[in-house]
Amino acid sequence: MTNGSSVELQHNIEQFLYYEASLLDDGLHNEWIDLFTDDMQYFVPIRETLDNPEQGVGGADNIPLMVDNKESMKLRIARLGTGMAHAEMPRTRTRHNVNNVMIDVIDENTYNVRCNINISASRLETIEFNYYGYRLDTLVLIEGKFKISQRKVILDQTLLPRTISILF
Amino acid sequence: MSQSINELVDNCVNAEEGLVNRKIFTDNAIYRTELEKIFTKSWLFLGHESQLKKNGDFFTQYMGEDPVIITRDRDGQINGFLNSCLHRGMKVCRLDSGNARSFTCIYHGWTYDPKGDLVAVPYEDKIYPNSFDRKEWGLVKIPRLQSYRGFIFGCWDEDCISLEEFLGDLRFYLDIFIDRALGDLEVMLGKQRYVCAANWKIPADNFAGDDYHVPWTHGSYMKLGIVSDHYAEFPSNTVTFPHGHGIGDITLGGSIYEADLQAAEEFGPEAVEYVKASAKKLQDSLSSTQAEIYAFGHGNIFPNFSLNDFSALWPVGLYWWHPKGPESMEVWQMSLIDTGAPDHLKQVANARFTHVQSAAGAFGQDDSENFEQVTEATRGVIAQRSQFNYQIGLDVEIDEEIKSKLPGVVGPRMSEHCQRNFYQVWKEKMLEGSPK
Repeated sequence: MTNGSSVELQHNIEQFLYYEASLLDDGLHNEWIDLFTDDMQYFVPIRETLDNPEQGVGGADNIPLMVDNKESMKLRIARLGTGMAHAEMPRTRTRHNVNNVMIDVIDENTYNVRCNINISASRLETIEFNYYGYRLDTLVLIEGKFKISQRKVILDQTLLPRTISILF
Repeated sequence: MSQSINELVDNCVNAEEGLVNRKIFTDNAIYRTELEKIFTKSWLFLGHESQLKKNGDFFTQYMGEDPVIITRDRDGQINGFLNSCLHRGMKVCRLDSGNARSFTCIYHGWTYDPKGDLVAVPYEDKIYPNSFDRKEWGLVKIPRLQSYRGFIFGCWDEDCISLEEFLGDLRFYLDIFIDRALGDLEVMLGKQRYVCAANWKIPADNFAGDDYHVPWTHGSYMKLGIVSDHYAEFPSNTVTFPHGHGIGDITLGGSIYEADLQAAEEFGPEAVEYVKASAKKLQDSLSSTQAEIYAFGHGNIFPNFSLNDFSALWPVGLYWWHPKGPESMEVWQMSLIDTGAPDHLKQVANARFTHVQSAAGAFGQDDSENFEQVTEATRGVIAQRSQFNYQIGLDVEIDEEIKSKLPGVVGPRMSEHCQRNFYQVWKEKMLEGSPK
């Protein structure tokens, strides 16, 4: 449930998420990483099919898909610029679709935001794939601008359609 | 004019001259034959004993295209059987792992215990003839199931050679990461899984001995200074074994340890101590040559299980290239960590791992791009008129001293002798039992 949010805040946060998604779709990764705080935490757990579905969302003892801080995320981005990151040369065409945005106001500068994501992608001639799931972000307001301090990307897929060469 | 499968296979692999016909990566008849002649006749790695800590624990896996369940029963014994009800074939277990007292088929309710025995059949007394005997309808058991130091292998062929003979001298190298661990090796829970539209042999051959691809395929890491510019000049070796396994990055002289010690400094004094203690543990447990090697590098255990161990500051990576048709596979990967490592180093190791040889890692991504596009460019009629070239190192002789220290057939780093051996063994297995 959206909690403590206003129409204006909902609008502003949605606009921020759409802008962020457009940077990924346009390959503007250096601009994208600037939207994160310096102490950012970024985590993509694996999913499993287990008795209790919540068990399947990775804990600390699970093998992760991605676990990054700002430095390691910058390394991923630097790699894309080396001219030898073959899996993204030329770049995969993506649409990062973000919807069902729900906001939990923690304090006047901190918001927990949950949204659904559906990323469709086309690569080279014949490669087509989708990633879908939801994201749990913590946004903080710094000097009137939103920054992402935590992002957890929970994919619904146990078997991924291919390797993860794009960012979420 | 159609060729028999045997003729096709025989003509497709010429290991002596380092030539392999492209048909074996796309042909459906060859693929169906592989499932029979390779995947039901070879020892296949199924998982690690740390996945089955408690009685009743189970996990599901594939052997070729056959789904299987591996369990630890109430007596603590490890069992394996086909994950398919004997009545109408439904999967009796649809989970990745868990703990169960029994497996009940959702179709008609036949229920099996963790030994695979059929223990309950709905309305049995009323509907089945007197001749029906539950004992005859247990799940199809994997007849040979054995562990090597925690690594569980299974084979469908009752008459196959022992696991010890199958692994052979490869054990000398596997022992390095097993004995370097200060505690036990334990899996991180769960697995990464992704689809790769490529034939399963392409990554197997890559992991068996393709050090040649590293500076180019993984050139992004050279540009970033993570892989040394001098990679190709390092005096390391590739080694292959009679049953088709191949390994690489085997470096004598202790330089891998030195590099690890240097890397550890970045992670603090605890990491330095850990690396030193790991090296000491290795020296105390194994031979001086094994201690010199320090980390195993990468390798493929025939047919489709690969692993790597770059350093004490990485998990051991486990990779299955599960065949899903001639031009598709599922990559499954797990990681093993040393329970004796400091907790924060386990996290560091995992984070490093996710950046390199994993689903979202640089190496995983770029390797997969190769494997898929090789397949894309290999199925055409004209493409299949030319052969893949595996001729690197055909005429290279190895220093006698290195040969005497390293068990197995030794080659230089830049050699394709491991791949030639992989395809030679593949051919022999494909032709096994056929009239010459």
